[in-house]
Amino acid sequence: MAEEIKIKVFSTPTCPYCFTLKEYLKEKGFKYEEINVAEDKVAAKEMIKKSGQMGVPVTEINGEIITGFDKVKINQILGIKE
Amino acid sequence: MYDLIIIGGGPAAVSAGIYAARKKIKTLLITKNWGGQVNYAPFIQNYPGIKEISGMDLVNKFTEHLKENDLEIKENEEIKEVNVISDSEIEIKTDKDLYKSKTIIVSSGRIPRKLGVPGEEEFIGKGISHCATCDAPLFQDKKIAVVGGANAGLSTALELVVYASEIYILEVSSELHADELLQEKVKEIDKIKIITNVKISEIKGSDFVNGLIYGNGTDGENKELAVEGIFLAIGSVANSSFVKNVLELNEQGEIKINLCNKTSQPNIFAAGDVTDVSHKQIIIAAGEGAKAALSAYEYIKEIK
Repeated sequence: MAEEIKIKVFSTPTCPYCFTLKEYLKEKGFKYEEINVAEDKVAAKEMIKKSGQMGVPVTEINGEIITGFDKVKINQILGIKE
Repeated sequence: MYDLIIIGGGPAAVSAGIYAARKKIKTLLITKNWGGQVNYAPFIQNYPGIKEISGMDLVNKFTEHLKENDLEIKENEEIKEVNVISDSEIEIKTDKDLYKSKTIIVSSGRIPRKLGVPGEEEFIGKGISHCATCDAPLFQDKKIAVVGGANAGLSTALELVVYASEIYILEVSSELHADELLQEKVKEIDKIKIITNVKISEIKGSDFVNGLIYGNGTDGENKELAVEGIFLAIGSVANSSFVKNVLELNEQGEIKINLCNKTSQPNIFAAGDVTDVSHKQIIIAAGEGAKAALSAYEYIKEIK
């Protein structure tokens, strides 16, 4: 049994790289929890604290933090081969 | 060996890719990401056939269309070096691999201009942002500086106004350069303040930005402005540094091209905002990409 993968994407609705990142995860068949930091102020603070970044997107995969649309790192953690 | 390698992922590169694929030449397109500056246009209303579309949606349409065509694509790769082997061979080094091609098209667009002060690199993403559209909501109730008093700077300030507690527009010269309409809008808003003759010398902070140091022309003394966010809206520069040793550039760092998109090197063509073409527009970049691909195709036929 593969262990369950938990993905959280912190994003704003107007950010182009967030959109690209979410489309990429969808395309590769991964489910993710979308957190809109423009609406959810508490989550915004959580994101800044966890990532040390004041910019979106931030992705959390099984507790590991990825800033920006870092495809290489995402592929590596999720075992995606292109 | 490829017939053609296209560098970039914006309108010029995408259009070049479509034209090259239809000529059935062996083509590779290498890009760090898709769309370039188009991504940051909130809406586009001057592209024939499309009455109104967001930049993001147009980029998706571009890439979808490109991928219908028969060419190879390497995404998320950064160009490190371009070397001319001969007038029929170019070598491209990326952060991942080495490629060879008879011809190339450079359509790498423009990148945000830098202030060039201490703290700038260190605090990107930690209070410094180039994209108000993306990051504005993270600056709720914070004091913010927007650097740049032209249209981009004032539009940025207006985008931030619903979130920030106070906004300072910092302009290096003695007056704003934005359209009158934008200036009027900005001046009506109490929490936006304008400071002119600002020469920033340092960006300060610990984990995140907490201020900037600037000289204010008139009295020559350094002042500190306590802000938690800095949005840079000081324009862009041609993304041409990787070809600066092999191609002739103009004073602004743009690649010099002729009417057929030829550069100073016979088998390197260039298109779009990275070149000295007049008027940087999406429709123009797309047209230039098509021209460059057709010129490259003719050149490939000649050397065969």
